[in-house]
Amino acid sequence: MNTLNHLNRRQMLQRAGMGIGSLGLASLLQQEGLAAQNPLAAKNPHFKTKAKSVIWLFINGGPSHVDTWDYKPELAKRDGQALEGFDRFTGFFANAVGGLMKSPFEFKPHGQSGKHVSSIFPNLSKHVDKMAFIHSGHTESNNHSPALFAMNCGLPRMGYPCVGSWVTYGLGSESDSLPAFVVMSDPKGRGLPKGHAANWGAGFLPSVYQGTHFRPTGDPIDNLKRPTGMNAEQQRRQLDLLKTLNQQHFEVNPFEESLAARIESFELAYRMQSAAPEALAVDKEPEHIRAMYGLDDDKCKHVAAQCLTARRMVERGVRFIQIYSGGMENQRSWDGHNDIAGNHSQFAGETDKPIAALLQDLSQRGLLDETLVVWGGEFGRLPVAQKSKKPGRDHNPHALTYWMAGGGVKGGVSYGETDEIGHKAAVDKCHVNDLHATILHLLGMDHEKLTYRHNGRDFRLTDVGGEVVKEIIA
Amino acid sequence: MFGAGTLDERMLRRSIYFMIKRSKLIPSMQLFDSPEPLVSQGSRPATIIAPQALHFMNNGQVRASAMELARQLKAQPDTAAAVTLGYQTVLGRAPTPKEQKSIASFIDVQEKSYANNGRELALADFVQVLFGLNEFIYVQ
Repeated sequence: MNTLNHLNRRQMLQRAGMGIGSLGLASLLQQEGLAAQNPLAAKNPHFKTKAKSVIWLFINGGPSHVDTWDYKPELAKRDGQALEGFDRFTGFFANAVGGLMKSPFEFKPHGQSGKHVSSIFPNLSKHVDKMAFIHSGHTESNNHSPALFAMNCGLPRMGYPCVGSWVTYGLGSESDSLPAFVVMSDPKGRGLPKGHAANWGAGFLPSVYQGTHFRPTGDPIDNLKRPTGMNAEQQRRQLDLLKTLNQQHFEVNPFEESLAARIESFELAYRMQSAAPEALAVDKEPEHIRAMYGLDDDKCKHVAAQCLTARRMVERGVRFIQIYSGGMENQRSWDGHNDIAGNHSQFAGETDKPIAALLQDLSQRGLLDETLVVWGGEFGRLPVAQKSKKPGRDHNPHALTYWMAGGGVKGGVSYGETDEIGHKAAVDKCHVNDLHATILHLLGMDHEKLTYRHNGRDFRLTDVGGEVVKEIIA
Repeated sequence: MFGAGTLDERMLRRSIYFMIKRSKLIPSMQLFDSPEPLVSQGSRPATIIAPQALHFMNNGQVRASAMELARQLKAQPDTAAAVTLGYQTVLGRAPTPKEQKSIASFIDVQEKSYANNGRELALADFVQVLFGLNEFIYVQ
C-alpha cells in the first residue's frame, strides 16, 4: 500500500500493465504498418501507372445522361409515346410518369472522335477527345443518399470508407503541409449532398484517411487561425517549449515511440497555417487564368474558384479532391424532377466553363497525364417524362454516364451502351464496383489487394465485385 | 441527463456520457479517432495527425480552457507555484527542476510580449502547451 501511495495514476497504470494501452497501440500500429511514422507518408502503389492524384467532379443530384453525353436520337422519334412495360416505381414519383421525352437540348458531333454532346456544354464539348466515356454505368439505389453512398463507398449503406479514403490509405500523401484528401461542397447555401459527411468518411479505416471538408463559407479548415491576440512568434515559442518539454519527458520515459510523430504533427500544423491559405489564394492567379476559369463570371465563379483551387492543390501534392456541383435535392442540384431544361441549363452553366478550363489548364501545365479527372453523379435519369408544368425526369439507377480524362485514360473513346432510348445499361454493363476498380487501377492499385481487416474479415472498396474497364486505359 | 447531445462544445461531461448522433459527429472527437458509432469496435485505431495539433494550438474551446486555468494560476504567489499548480492539475505530478526552468523563462518572455494582460495570457500559453504534451494526450 505504501508503495502505491507514492505512485500517481499514470505511473500506476504504466507499472501495473507496462502501459497496456501503449502496448495495444504499438502492436496495432505495427500491424497496420504505421509504426511510429506518419500514416500519411507517401507509399508505393502495387504497380506503376501515370495517375498520382484525382479530381472528382461529383455531379450531385443525378445528371440526366440522355440530356448530356448519351445521345439518343430514338428518343426524339418516339417523343410522347408511352414506354410499354415500364415499372412506374423505378423513380420516385410513380404517379407522375409521362411518355418518352426527347432531350430539350440539341446534340452535335465534336472533336476528332465526333462525339455527340448536348448544347449545354459549349466549352466542355471542345475537350471530348481527352475524355473516355462510360455509358453503361448502373447502380444499386434510386434514392439519393444510398446512391451517393454506393458511388462514393461502393455499398448503398453508410459507414463504409469512400474512394478518397481508400486511395489515401493506399498511397498516402505527397504533401507535407496540406490535407491529403479534400472535399469541397456547394458554396451557394444550397446544402450538402445527401448523407453529408458519410460521403467522405473513412468508415472503419483510421480516421486520418477521411476527407477534409472545406467549409463552404468562412474559414475552410477548422482551427487554422491562431487564437485572437496571439502572433506567430508567440505561437512559435509555444511550440518550441512543447518540443523541449516533450523531449525532457522522453529522456525519463523512453517508451513513447509516438513522440517523434507527435512533435512532427505540430510542425506540420504550424506549416499548414500558412500553406493552406496560400493554396486557396486563387485571386493571386494571373488575369488570363482567372478569366479562363470564369472567376469573374457571376454564373460560374463559385465552381471556378473550386476548380482553380483543385489545380493548385494537385500542384502541391494533394492526393484526392472531390468537388460537388449543387447542394441537396430538387432545384438545389442536378436533380431535375421539374423543368429538366431549366435545371440542367443552370447547373451546366455553373460548371461548363470552369471544368473545361481545368482540363485545359492541367493539360497546358503537363499535369493532366498524372491527374485523373472524373465527372459523374449518383445515378442517371429516366427517358420518360416526369409530368409537371415544365416536365422533368425522375431518378434512374439502371443507366448513368461517367467520363474520365487524363491520368492514363484513352481520349475520345466511349465504352458500353444503354438501350436505344437510354433506359437501361445494355452493352458492357459497368457496375459501380467496376468503376471503382478502374479508378484504383489507374492509380496503380489492385482493387483486390487493397484491403483492410475489420469485423473479422478483409474489406475492399469493391466488396466482392469489380472488373477493371481495361478498354478505356491507354 | 445526456442533453440534446452531440454538437454543443460546452458539454463538460466525459465523452463516454455523450449521446452521439451518427449524422452529427463531434469534430474534436473525430479528430482523436473516436470509434465509428454504428458497430462495436474490438480495437481502436490511433492516429497522430496535424489537425490534432491545430486543435491544441488554435481551437477556441482549448484556448478557453487554458484561459480558465490560467486565471486560477494567476492567483499563485509566484511563477514557480503557478507552474506547480498547473502541472498538478493537468498532469497529476510536480514539475521537475529542469521543467520549472524552461517554463519560467518561457512565461517571462511571453508575458513581456503581450501589450495588455500579459501575465494571464502567458500563463494560458503555458497551460496550452501542457495540453499538447504527449504525457497529457496518452495515459502511459
